[in-house]
Amino acid sequence: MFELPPGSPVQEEIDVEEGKTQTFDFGFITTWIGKRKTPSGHRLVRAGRIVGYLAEDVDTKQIVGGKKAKELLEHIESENKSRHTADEYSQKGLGQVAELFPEAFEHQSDRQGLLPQVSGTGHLLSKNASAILSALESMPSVRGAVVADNGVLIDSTGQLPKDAEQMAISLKNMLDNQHKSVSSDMLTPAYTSLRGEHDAMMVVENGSMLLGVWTEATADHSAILSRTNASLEGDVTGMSFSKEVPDGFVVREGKGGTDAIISMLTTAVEEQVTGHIKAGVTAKSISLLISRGLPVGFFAQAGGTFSEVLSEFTDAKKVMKLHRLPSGTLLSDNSGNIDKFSLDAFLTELPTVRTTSEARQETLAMKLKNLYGFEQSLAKLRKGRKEIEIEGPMIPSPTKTEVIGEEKLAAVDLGLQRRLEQSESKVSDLMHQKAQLEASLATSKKQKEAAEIRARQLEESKLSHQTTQESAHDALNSMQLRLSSAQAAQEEAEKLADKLMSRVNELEHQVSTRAAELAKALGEASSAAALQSEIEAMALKEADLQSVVKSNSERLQLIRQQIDDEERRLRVLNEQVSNVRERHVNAQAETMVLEEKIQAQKSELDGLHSESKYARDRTLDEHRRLAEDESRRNNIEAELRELMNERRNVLRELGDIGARRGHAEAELASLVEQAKELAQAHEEALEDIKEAERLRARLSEEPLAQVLLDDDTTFKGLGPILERLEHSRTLGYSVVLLDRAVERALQVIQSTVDNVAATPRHLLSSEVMTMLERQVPDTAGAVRGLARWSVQQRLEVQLGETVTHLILDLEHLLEDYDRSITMLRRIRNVLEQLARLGAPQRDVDALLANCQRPESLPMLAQGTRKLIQVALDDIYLEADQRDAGESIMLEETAQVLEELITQLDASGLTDGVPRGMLWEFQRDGFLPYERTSIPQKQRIPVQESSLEGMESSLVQSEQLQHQEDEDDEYDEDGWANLEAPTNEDMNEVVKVVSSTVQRLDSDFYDERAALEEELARMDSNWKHYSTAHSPDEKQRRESKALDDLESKLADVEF
Amino acid sequence: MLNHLLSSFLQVKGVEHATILNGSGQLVAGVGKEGVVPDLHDIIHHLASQLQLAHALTSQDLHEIWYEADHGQLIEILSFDRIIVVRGESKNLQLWRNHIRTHRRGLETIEGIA
Repeated sequence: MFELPPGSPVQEEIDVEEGKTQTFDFGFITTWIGKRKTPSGHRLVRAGRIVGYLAEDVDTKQIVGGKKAKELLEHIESENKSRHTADEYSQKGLGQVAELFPEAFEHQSDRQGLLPQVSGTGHLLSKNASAILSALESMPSVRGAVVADNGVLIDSTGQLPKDAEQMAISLKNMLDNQHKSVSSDMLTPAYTSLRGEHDAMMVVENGSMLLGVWTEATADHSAILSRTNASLEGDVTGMSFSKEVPDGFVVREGKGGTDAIISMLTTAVEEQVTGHIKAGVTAKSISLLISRGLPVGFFAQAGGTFSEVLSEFTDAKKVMKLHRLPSGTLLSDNSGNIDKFSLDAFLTELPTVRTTSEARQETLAMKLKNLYGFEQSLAKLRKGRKEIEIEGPMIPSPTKTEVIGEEKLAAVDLGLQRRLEQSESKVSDLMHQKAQLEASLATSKKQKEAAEIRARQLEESKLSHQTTQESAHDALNSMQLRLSSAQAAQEEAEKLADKLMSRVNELEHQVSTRAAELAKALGEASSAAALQSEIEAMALKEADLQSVVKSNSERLQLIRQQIDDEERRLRVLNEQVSNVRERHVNAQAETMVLEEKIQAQKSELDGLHSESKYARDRTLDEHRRLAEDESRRNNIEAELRELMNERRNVLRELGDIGARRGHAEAELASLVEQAKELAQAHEEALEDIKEAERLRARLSEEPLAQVLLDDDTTFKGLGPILERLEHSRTLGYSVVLLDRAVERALQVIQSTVDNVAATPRHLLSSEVMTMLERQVPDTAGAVRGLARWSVQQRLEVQLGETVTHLILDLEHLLEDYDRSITMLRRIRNVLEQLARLGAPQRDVDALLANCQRPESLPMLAQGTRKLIQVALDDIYLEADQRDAGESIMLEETAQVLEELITQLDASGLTDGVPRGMLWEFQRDGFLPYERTSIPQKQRIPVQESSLEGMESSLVQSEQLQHQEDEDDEYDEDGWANLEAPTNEDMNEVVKVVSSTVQRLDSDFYDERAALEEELARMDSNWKHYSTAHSPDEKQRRESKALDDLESKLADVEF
Repeated sequence: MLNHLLSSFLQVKGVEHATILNGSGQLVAGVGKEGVVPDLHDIIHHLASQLQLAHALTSQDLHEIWYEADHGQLIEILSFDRIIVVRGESKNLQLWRNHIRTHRRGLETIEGIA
């Protein structure tokens, strides 16, 4: 025997007696025989009544249902020891189970009405009114239709019995009246049909919306409704998705993980959400489709197997959101795209996918079972239902009649069943009332018995009180008697005492009289002793009497006291008795009242006890409803909070967007400005380009540019010069002079070019040319051609000539440079020799430092010559102090030194004004070509900076002391005080020099050569002169002066 | 997309123009018959005055405004940032209202062109 899906266990004791109303409304009762693990049968309960039976025949193992099952169960239970367990369902749950086992019901009418009607009116009226009306209009049995909201017409179509607006109002009124008249316990109908003789009206209501359809009399209204629903719904089997499941209203959001999934499923079940739980936000997101809280499938864009998708879905790193899709959305098993999804598989694998701990798996499985236990086992049962064969008619005909005895009983139809249910419920109410009354009767009886007992007890206590009272009375009486007797005795005693007192007094009087008589008698002395004894006896007697009187008086006192005490006691007793009496009466009254109260409350309590059982279910339902309302309220509040947060975020985003917009606008403005600037620059560039194009065009027309571009033969000659210049740079010597020379050459060329280029412009202005071009292009062409020819000629001749000359000058300068380098090398050797000869090392080093600078060659040569001269002077001075060997050695040295001096002198470098193009260029900055061909006024001015860069100065000149000493004798121009010449040759030299100083000769080079020869001759003469005489300071000075003079003469230009 | 949704309003009887404004009174989307341009300033003025009236008279929120004159106009406040205005010749504002209700979700959530 199979087990039914679990529900909420029922704790109360189960009684399956016929006609007994159960304590729960919907559910089932399972019968277990002995210790068997499988049930023997089930009883289905509806509205507290057992309406269905399922049982397993132990022998045949056949499952039977209906009446047979009922008899079987009763038989089993009677023969074996059985126990019952019960589970409670919801009405819907019982309906779902009833769908599976219709054979279990004894009467088929008990099976109907359990599941809510799925007519789809809610879905229908949520659609567009016009669409509904157009769908209805197409049906042949529909004459007309109207849709209204709260009685206000929305739209109408077709023929209507009256005006559409009026009809809307009428229908609304009709439905309102219907609601008022019908009790709230009745189920809201899907639609209301009004059938007349010739036509019919169907009214569908959902909330404030109503649909009124006027049809033919025999139209099937439910069919019309379902057809309309189907035509507007489309695929009723459920939505399917192509790309991704659309997002809906986010009910909850949070981190992923198994616990989060279970929590969201709980929320979905509570809220009956139809939507999906989406894990992830990218294209790899996975959605668990949920229909009314029940998972129906997976949708994963990336696809995959069920296990892979589930594993991905439960990733804790993913963000999880519960989406509720719009109402009317239908999701079913075919909405997902992952195969092999089933609720059972989902619930089985979910606890195990992310954990291996058994305890945790059990916990998760328990949670899921609480959530979906019913649906899971129902699904299993549904699957296995095909294999279960239940003996019993599927749907017995409701018109089947039963023959009982000779009478035919009418078939049990729905109405009779309902009446039976009502009567049974009435019976159960009456039974309950009866039970209540019986309980109250029993309590009354008990009250009565208790009252009787109490009365008896009171009687007994009353009697006892009476006896005590009587005894008290008796005691009182006896006391009173005793009192009276005591009083009497007291009086007697008093009387007696009085008597005795009087007697005593008499006796004493008598005694006294007697004594007086006695005394008289004594006078007679006869019986004095007898008289004394009589007196003594009388005294004794008196004493005895007194003692008796005393004792009697004491007794009297005692008696009086006793009497007083007794009286007092009597009074007290009387008071006590009266108090007791009063108390007794009061207590009685109070007791009566209290007992009545107690009895009343007891009866009430019993009544409440009996009612509480009946009302417990209602309170539980109320609690459940309250809890649901509470949770719904909490959810709504949470949703509201989320909406407010969303609103806040949206407002914040709006603010950010506004700020960003401001920034963007500012950026845009700056970009616009930049763009404008760029556009402007672009335009300027375009204009520049146009200008350049124009210039290029003009240049292409300009004769000078053409010539420069076309004719470069004149500049080809510069090639070797440049190579030599490059080579000279690699020698390691300073190339300042060459650099300046090249610079100067370029300046000259530039000026020549400028001069040549300026000429045509001066001849014809560009405006005139432009005008000529426009008006007389031929003439402009001719003028341009002439200008071009002119410029070309000038360029070819003038520029070429200039460049040629400059090339020659540069070559000469290069030669002089080479010679200067040679001289520098020789001077270096000389200086090294001088150093070895003992010349001042400092001077030698200072001079050696300048051996890489050709520009300092004149000064270097002078310095070297001086050193050589000093050395020679030293040698000559000490010549007489040496021996022969030394003298010979020194002589050779002197010869060498003299040769050196001669060479230095011959080079002209020691004159102070060295000769040569290079040195002339060094002095004035003019190239030889300029000096010879260009008038001084037309020459390009030489910059002082270039002259300073070329000047012949020594580095480490401060080292050279003797140089400075001698330099001090000369002024800035190099003039020194000169004595009157003593040599006639000098005068001749001066005259020759003065006569020739101003003369310019065109044959520059020949005269120059001649002059050089003459000067060399003069040098040798002078040398001879200088050696012939004693070398003293004055002669040296004079020689110096002569040297200066010669150097100045060497400056003469021709 | 929003304009596409609004264009369905033109299929409804009597609708000449359907406009959506945001909470600041700026135009979000609008669809209408050719040559018909609604006076937004007028609409905003009416809406503002009605809101003030509603706030002055009651503590409730204003949801809808119906104008039934020669021309009909229905203003429905869908959310704090969405106001739909439907204008036309017809006086069957209930039909327009029903159409709005049917498409409310889309009208509330679909974004207009920024």
